[in-house]
Amino acid sequence: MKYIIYTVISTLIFIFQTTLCQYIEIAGVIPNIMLLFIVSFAFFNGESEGLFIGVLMGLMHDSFFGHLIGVNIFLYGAVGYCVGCISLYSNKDNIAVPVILSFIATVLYDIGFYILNIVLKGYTSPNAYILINLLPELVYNTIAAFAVYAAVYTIGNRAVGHKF
Amino acid sequence: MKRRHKIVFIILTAASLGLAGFSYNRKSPTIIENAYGYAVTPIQSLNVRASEKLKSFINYFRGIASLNGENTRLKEELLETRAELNRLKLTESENLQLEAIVGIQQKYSNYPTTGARVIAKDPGNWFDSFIIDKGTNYGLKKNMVVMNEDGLVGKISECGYNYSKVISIIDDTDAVSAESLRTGDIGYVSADFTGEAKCRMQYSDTNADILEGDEIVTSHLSEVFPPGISIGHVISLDTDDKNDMQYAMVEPSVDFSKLKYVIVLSASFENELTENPDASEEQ
Repeated sequence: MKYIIYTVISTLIFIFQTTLCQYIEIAGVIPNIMLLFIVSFAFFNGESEGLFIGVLMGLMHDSFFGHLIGVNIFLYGAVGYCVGCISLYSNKDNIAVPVILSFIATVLYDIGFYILNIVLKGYTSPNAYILINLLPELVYNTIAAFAVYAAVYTIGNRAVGHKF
Repeated sequence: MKRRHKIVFIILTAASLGLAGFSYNRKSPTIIENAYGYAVTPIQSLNVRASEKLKSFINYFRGIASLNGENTRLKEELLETRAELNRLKLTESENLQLEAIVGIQQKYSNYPTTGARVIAKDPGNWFDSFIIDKGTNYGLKKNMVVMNEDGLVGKISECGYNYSKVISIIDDTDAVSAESLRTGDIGYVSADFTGEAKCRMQYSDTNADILEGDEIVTSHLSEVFPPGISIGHVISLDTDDKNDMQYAMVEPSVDFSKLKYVIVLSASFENELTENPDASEEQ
């Protein structure tokens, strides 16, 4: 039952990310709400749930938009799992921790995506492309992380005490 | 790192690699993806439609003040366009007559087309792949050509029942066979990730006469694309240090971030060209 609810929530966020999210773009970038949600969710619910949500969202992302299935499964899954592990040592009410984690996750995700999707295709020469893409997204993601964290925190508290 | 963490990561990596191998070069989405797409794409479609309605509602009130000026401008434009249309009609009829005299078949016949709406875009900022709201239920197939009024957008990479996945030319590392409209020099265009422009055109002929500002169109050598669709304009020329190949950076004619509607040429050119002996010899 729990996992069905997770699947529905992930689907809704996926739909939001691919449709309405395109309307809140600033300077050509959109925030990666899926990634931010995985971070906030794993932060509250621990590593196994983080891994589940990460793999699920990676599967959605890859099967609809990926060139190969597997890249985002790995990246999102790894982010969810790692954040879940780190959250064991952190106070859940401190908003700074998930925002900083979102920041780090965005950097790692983008570098991983760049390596797996672009460098492995033969574009090995170092260039500014990664910075052009990464920096605006990083700023936007960090700001959006506050909102996502607040939403997950509020909904999580209302629904089942501390968990979803 | 704890033992448990290691196991989790090994399983995750193995699963991703396995799926990547499985999905490499696949022909169509699996039944699970198709079912999921069948459920999700109507909601995406609804979402996009609703937000468009809202936007046009807001724009309606915003635009009232400027309507008068725009009206006169459009009327003038209409007059010019009509004159242009008459001229083109004359040219066309002349062309038809000449064709009849010379006895060649019409090369660029009207392709059957299907209009489609973009209902979802890539969640990330790296690629510009998107989903359109028609699939095998409208007879679309893999590798059909997608374009809009400005030029070439890409091709269909996967077809579900009521959705299709479009891979744009700026993401696709599969090259598009292209030529310069001005001189007819042949090369191929592929995605470029160095950040200058979205595409690069590579050509082997060192004497090729390609200059900045040249329009690049699809060539008659392409297996997937019909000839003569605009790809973009050359914005700079350069030489690859590693293999001394010359290349041109091409800015696509299509604005990929603002795509709303696309046209799918619902005929497969693959078969047509492989049956044609001339074309296959040239390749």
